[in-house]
Parts: sequence; structure tokens; C-alpha cells
Amino acid sequence: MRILASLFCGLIFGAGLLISGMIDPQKVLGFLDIAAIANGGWDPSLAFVMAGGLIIAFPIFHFARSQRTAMCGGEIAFPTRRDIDRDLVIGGLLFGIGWGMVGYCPGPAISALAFGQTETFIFVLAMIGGMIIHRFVIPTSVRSPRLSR
Amino acid sequence: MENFTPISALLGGALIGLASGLYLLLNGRIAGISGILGGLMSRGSAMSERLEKLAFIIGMIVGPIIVIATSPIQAQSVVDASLPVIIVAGLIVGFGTRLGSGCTSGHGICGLSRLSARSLVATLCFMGAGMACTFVVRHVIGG
Repeated sequence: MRILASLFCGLIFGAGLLISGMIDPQKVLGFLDIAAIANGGWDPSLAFVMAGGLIIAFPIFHFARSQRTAMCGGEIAFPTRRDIDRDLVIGGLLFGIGWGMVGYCPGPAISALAFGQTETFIFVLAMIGGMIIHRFVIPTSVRSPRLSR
Repeated sequence: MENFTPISALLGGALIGLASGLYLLLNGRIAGISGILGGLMSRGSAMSERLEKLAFIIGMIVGPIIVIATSPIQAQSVVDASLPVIIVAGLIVGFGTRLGSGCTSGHGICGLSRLSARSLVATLCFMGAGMACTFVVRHVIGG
């Protein structure tokens, strides 16, 4: 049941990425390229994707706070960390740099595998490589538990 | 602003928000793509949990295929970068999202929906760095 629910959510998520246009790196870079505001070539679409996402997710997340358990069983695992530490900032900055280089963040890169392009496949492999490197470079004991009640 | 597509952006964004909300209500988990992908590869997680994450990833790839096959929507995913740049960017995105515990979905959509200050800081960091990097690539190096 959990697996089916997960598949279903993934399907909607992927469809959303495609319809929003965020599956195309050039669309994303069109937003990140704020210098284009000067010549009228800037594309604010990504801000509208965020807005659309928040309008729907915000009330659902609010409602989820009042639920004791998830519908498919088990706890609803809200992240508990509140600290703003060095890793958060450096990780965010690094991610942003890689994002601006090609225009792929993790979600759109995975969904774009649907197009069967070699470049996308290589990016996703490198991204998984980066995650594996992180696992070996940063010892588990240093990492705080990310999800708990 | 000839490329501006506010309606499809809002609609697609709403679907992403819906998927994130449903994942939390149904499975009790945060739909953070870097977290889901990272969790797939961590040694600690149970088989059932891995299958759950794998199902989400498969859905993310099949979803666009279904939309393209059943609707008149035209879509593309244009990568305009050299092979070394693609590899370096992928490595940095993978490493950075794990170090910063999240990406555009986990911090951007889910985190901001929880009004998490931590996620707001992360979102400002990757948005700012992304804009700065795009500026360098397009206007300093690219010219």
C-alpha cells in the first residue's frame, strides 16, 4: 500500500515538473538569469511554480500537523531540526552553483530521464556520485538525525 | 518576457505541491527528492523503505512519459553544457544537497510550507548561488 501510494505521488510530482516547464534546464536558467531583467528577457515562471506549489502544500502541511498517523500507517515524520549551521549554508550554496551551471536540480534531472537523453543520464549518475562521496567524506556520527517525531 | 508561462507554471507547481502534501499525508514522509534519492543509497534503511523510495523515483520518470503520450503538451529538456561541466555540476548538486539536507523540493516546497526558518535560509542560499552562477556562466564567461 505504501509503495503504491509512493508511486502515485511520484507520478503526480513528475507530471507537475513537466507541465510547469521546470523539466527543461533552459526554462530554469531563464529564471536564474536575473541580468536579463534589464533587456526584458527574464522568465519569472519558476517563481510561479513555487507559488503554485506553496498554495497547495501549505494548507495540506498545516492539516497534517493535526493528524496523529499517516493514512498508510506509521508516524508523520516532520523534520525537527531548527538550527542554521554551516553545513546548511555551504550545502545550499554548493547546490546553487551546480544548479546554475546546467539548470538541473535533483527533481527535474530525474524526471527528465523520461526523454532518454545521454546528457541527463550522465548528470544523474554524477549527482548520485556526489551523494555517495558525501556519505564517505562526512562520517555518519557527525550527521544529526534528520527526521523524527 | 516572451518565454513567460504563468498558467502552466502555476498548474504544474500546484501538482508538485499536491504530490508533496499527499506524500506527507499518505506515507508520513517529506517529498524531498535529494533525500529520497540519498535514502535509497544509505546502508541503514530497510528494504520496504527502499522500495517505497524507488517507487517514487519510478513514478517521477513515468509521470512525464504519460503526460507526453496522452496530452498535446510539448516538452523538452535542453542541456546546453559540455560534458565536464555536466559531470562537475552533477557532483556538486549531489554533494551540496546532501550536505545542506535538501533541495528545491525538500527545502523549497516542503520546508517553506512548514514555515521552517532553516529551509528559508537554505532556499535563499541556493537561489542566490544559482543566480550568481548563472550570471557568471552567461555574462562573464559566455559574454
